[in-house]
Amino acid sequence: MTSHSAVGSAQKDRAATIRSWKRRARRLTPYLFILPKIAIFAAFLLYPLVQAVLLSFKGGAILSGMRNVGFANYRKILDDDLFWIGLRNTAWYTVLVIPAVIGAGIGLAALLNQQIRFRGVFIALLIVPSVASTVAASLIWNYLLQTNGGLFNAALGLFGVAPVNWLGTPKYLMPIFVAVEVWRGAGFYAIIFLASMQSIPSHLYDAAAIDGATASQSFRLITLPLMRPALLFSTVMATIWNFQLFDSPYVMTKGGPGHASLTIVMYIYDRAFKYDSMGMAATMSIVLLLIIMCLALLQLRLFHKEIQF
Amino acid sequence: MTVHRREFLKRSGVVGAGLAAAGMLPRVGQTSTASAQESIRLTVWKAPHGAGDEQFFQEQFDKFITDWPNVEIEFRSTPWGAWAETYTAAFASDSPPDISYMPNAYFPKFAEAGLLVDFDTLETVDLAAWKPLFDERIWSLGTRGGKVYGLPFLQAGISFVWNKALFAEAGLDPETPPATWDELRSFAAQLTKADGTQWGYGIEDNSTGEMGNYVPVPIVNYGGELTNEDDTEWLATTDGHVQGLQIQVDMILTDKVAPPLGTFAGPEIFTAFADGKIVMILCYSSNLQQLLADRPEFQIGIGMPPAGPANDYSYGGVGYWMIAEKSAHRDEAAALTEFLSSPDVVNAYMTLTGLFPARTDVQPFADDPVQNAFAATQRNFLRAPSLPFDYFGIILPEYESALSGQQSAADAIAISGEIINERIKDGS
Amino acid sequence: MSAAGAGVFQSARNPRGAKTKHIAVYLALVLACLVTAGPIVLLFATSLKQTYTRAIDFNSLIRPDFANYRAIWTELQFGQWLMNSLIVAISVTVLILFLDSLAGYVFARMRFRGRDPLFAVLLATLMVPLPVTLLPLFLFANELRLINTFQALIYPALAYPMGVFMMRQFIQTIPDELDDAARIDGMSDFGIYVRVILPLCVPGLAVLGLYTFMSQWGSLLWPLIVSTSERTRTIPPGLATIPGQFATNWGLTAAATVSSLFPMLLVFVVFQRFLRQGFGGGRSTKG
Repeated sequence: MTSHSAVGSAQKDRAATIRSWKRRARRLTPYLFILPKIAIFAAFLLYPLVQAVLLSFKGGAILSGMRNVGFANYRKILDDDLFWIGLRNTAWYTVLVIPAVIGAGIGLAALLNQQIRFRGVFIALLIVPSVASTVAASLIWNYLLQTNGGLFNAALGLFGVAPVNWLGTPKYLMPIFVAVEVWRGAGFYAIIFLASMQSIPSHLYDAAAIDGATASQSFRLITLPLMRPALLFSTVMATIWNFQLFDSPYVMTKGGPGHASLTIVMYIYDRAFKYDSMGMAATMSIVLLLIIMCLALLQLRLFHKEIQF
Repeated sequence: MTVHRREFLKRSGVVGAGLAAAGMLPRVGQTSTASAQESIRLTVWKAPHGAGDEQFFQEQFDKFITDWPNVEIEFRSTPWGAWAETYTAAFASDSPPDISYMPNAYFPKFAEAGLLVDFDTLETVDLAAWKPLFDERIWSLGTRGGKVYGLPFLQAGISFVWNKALFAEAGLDPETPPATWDELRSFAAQLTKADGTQWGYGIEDNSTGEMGNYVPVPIVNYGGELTNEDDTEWLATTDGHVQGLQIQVDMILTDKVAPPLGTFAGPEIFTAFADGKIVMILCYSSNLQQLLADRPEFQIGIGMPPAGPANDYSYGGVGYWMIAEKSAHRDEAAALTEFLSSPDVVNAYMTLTGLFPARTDVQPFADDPVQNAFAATQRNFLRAPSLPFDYFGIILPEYESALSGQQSAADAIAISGEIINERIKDGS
Repeated sequence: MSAAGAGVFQSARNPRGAKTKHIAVYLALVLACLVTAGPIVLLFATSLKQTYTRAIDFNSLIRPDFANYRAIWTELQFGQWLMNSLIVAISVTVLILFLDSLAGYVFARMRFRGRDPLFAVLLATLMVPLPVTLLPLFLFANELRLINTFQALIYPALAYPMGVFMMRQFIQTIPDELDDAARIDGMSDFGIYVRVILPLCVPGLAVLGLYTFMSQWGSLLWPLIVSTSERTRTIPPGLATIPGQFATNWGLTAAATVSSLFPMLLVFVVFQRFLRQGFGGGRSTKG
């Protein structure tokens, strides 16, 4: 009797030990799984970010050496006209582009959601600009907007209108970038929204139709609300991305003429590399970071009900 | 459906992982001193003066290599529009290009930071033999603090050109260009057609960063030098300077004798000149070289820019071959630098681009009347400030703002002056 | 795929209105397609002729001259750029899909100390603009002697946390019961990840993969600075260096631009199928 139970309890002990190892291993699993990502994240995003914050308290040039200046850079920003110009341009652009590109995406998705033939062909043609990189898109639009012989002015010429200096007229510039981004992005958002629309069960629409709802009512009260997650995600993504507008103005106008198309990220870049004031650039980027964070959080708060954090 | 998808994902996963692995493997780095014992790699960076740079320099390097078989040379054509950022980033790192082509206006900050080789320290280079080959002015523009930082390669100065045929058409004497900026303004009025097909004068926009060659000229002609002798103060803040900018603003916005900036994008304004849409313009000989070759019947007038009340300076600069202090192969780099400044290479490049050699003993255009006329204008350049930061990047957007009507000329001059003086004070 | 919502225009009240609306839909789509595809056609036409100006004309479509397409391989280094872009984009995409889905799974399902603060940190850095980290990153890469290498192009891109956020969102919509069922069957966490979660994530992965590929394909700033020779130059900085100080060869530029579109187009077409499976949640039951 005793030997049997002795063996049994030894086995039980081992089993218990193994179970506790397994438990410990499972407790380690989360850490192991995220380790590669976190390690890379820490090395290539967090560390440089910390360096940038440290840089923001420095003045001088990267080539000739930098020295600590405390909060002097932050104070200087208030006086820096170009920073505010860049911010204003960027804000104006973002306010225009988000509704434009999201709206265009929804519109196109709604159209594609109809019972039509050749849907695949339409989609293919609509996303063609999306596959163009921003550099390619900017080159294309540079080409179209050419004052002498560009497509737009040629079209205007047909109506006897004098050629317009598109890229040389300050007030047209941000709207032009909006157009470039809508042209480039609408198709991509449309696909996301289309997928979202198509996952809405059709019996909801049938029920609504029976109740006498019009097309627009169905759209407003069924489609849009059920697309909320996709809409929210896209809007926040689009805001963050577009507030960092750089590629188009860099390729098309280099911030000109004068400062008419200077965006905040362009100015940070100029400050860092052209003017070689790394510290000041870092300072501005920290301020920009705070602004973007506020914007994103604001949007999330507005849609709070739909998101569980 | 499910099976296909899984297969596809699996396969693409494998391919992707393979490529990822390929990307992750340590690549052979910049200096391949690993395998061949003495194989040396030199990198040469230069911003382009024409579309043929890459090919031209490859050919030249092939010649160099016959004498130096263990040297491998890599050439990179860097865009002008991103000049400051490209070279700043490279020199801030441990691997700047061994040899860089640097214009006199851009190199000071690298020299001051100790990032360029002082040629006096190069044992293999006999500076005493090189110096007499160049004008005093050209040689000294490549020095800073008494140290020689580069061998001069080419010089380029702007000229004033006009369309003789259109002058005659408008009743002006085709052999007499305007002598002053005021005169130019009134000439331009007579040369401009109301329907926009012909403009009296033209100013290149800043889309390729080239506006700084032209717009400062009248500013200096009216107001005097941009900086004081030792570059410790930016002087371009007086009423005279404002006037120099104002007259250009007026020609575009008020008189409407010059097209609004951007009507012709960047270098296309020179094509417009060659096509008779613009009658007078400031430009480099290289801007027109190909255009004139394609239009043998074009009657071009070439002269010095008009004068202002203060002086009659033109604008020009010199480009140098400079060596990075961090270069691992100084002797080879020095030899290559000397090769690139040799008569044959210089002659060939100038013939290709239509620009002018820095060295006085090379005459590529002996028989070319047009080039000789251009050559005659390569003088009397305004003293380009030697500041340890990119001042063009500061003043040009402000001036452009004024030229496109976003702010007044007075504001543009004042603001740019303020910023620059502050930076001089900051020491950065 | 059922076109749910198609009935929107077919309301019971006005069947004839539905027909005109139907035509209007086609018209609108055709117009939209003209706007999107038109400029590309124009660009293509430009690529088929030798031109230094930007004059618009379609003659070249009738008498095409493909010289530019040969020239991009010889005069420019398009082949090199293409190869490099592919290496970078594909590597980053594959690795991101793996790393981010794994991390997303952890954040969605597992509880561990520091989870929420860590996630908050990841989220916060989403909004960091590139130039902030650009030069410190460059100097850091330099210290590691990784300038002008593919690692320098790939690693920093892997750090971006958006995919984690996205996949977490996605995985949260997958019912827990599936996990539990699998665990009862004795599957390890990793097994659950591979066999249960991943397959249901395909639409999310498709979107993430597409987005990652697209942003790597078009990335300009970082490669411009870190690629100091043609050996690692990708397409966008390559394209950006074509317009020279002197007259731009627009025919050549157009040819290069058009050529850069094809690989992306291919990827898009392939991934598009997965997108159609529905965004906003893996549905384990057909609904």
